[in-house]
Parts: sequence; C-alpha cells; structure tokens
Amino acid sequence: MAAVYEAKMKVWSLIIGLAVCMTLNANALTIYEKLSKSGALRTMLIEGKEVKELVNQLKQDGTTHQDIRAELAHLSDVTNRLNDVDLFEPHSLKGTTVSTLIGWLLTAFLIGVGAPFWNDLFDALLRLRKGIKPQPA
Amino acid sequence: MLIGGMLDTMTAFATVMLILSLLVTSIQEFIKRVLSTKARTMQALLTDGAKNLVGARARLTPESLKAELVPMLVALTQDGNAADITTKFGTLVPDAVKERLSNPFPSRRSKGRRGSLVRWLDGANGCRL
Repeated sequence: MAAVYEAKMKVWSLIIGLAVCMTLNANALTIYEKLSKSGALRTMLIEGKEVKELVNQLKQDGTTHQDIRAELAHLSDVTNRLNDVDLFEPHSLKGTTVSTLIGWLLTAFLIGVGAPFWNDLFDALLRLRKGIKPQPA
Repeated sequence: MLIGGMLDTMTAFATVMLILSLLVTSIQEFIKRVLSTKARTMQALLTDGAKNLVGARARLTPESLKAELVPMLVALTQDGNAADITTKFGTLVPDAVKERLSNPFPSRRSKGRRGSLVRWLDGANGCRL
C-alpha cells in the first residue's frame, strides 16, 4: 500500500514538475549552457548571499512544511530572482520546438529525483570545490 | 581551471535544480493540504447525512407510520365516498385499454369467456368501465 502511494506521489511530482517547467520555461539544457558561459551567474548562485540564505531557509522549511504559504512566498522570491538574471527565457507556446519539449521533460525528470538528492549533491560539490580551490594565504 | 569551472557549473546547476525541486515539493504539499481540508469537509457532511438517515430509520415504527398515514387517508376520503373515487379513476382509463379489457381472449376457443374480466372488475370494484 505504501509502495503504491509512493509511486503515485512520484507520478504526481513528475506532472507538477512538468507544469512548473512549462510555466517557467525551465529547460535543463539551456540552463546548463547559460551557467557554463556566464561566470557571474555561477558566482551569484553559489556565493550570492541572498540566494544562499533563501536556499538555507527553504531547506529548513522544506523538511517541516510548517508554514506552507510562507514557503511558497520564499520560493517565488527565489524564482523571481532567477528570472531577473534571465536564467529562464521568456517563451511562447507557438515557438515550442522538439528540443524545448525534450528539455522540459528532462528537467521534469531531474526535478522528480527529489530535493534530498539535489541537496546532498549540492553539499558534496561544495565540499569538493572547497578542497580544490586554493586556500587564501 | 577547467575542472574548477566545470565544478562551479555543476554546483550552480545543482542549486537551480534544488530550488525547483523544493518548489515542486511545496506545491505538492500545498495541494495535499487543500485536498485533505476538502476531504475533511466532505467527511463531515457525509457523517451528518448518515446520522440523519439513521435517525429517520429509527423513527419508522408501525405506530409512527400509522400516526402519519391515517390523517392522510382521512383527508383523501373526506371529499367523497369510495364509489366516487373509483368512478373518477374509471373515466381516466383510455379507450384502447377498455377495448382490450372487454376482449381479453380474442381467440375463437375463448369466445365464451369474452368480457369475463370486465364483469369481474365490475363486481370487484363496483365501477363500470
């Protein structure tokens, strides 16, 4: 019974993820391309104080879901910030191509993996980054 | 430098995915809460309805039925006697039905029984069709 419930929840998270991707035009392929080209965007996302604080807050709220409305408000703040730096391009459904559809599906699948996975990966990459980068003298 | 840049890109990408995942989780949680609130409301409505039904069933005893039905019957028969009522109903029967009733067995063998049903009805109900 629990397995069936979990499977259903995964399907729903995939559907909601796809809807979010389509609304924001969040395409994993273009996002990665933009991030690889723009150093300022990378720095803003990794070391930016506001985004960092918001992500930390979200990570705390995300585990408890105490105040869901406040959580959604924080998330919309972060998403707006990402929109402001043109991470998600404005998009109309008329200009949808096959690559866009593939990008949305890929993004939805990546989102469907779950927040704990990305949280662990983020922490691991940060540790690795600290290890590689030369320490200031 | 190349590895450092790649690592930065992957970290930034993981950040974006983390934000989007948290957004999806929050939306899912929000929908779940809204639906559970609606389900609770529906449950309360159904429980009230069931309680009312059970209460109504408990009230249905022979005595209570008699108490409710007798005044209705009295009100129905107050306007006239039983013969008047059957006469009224008799005028409402269509001609086709009357024809069928006057000749219920149209075969030759049953010729002698023609009209027996009508006669029986006349005798039983006291009304002429």
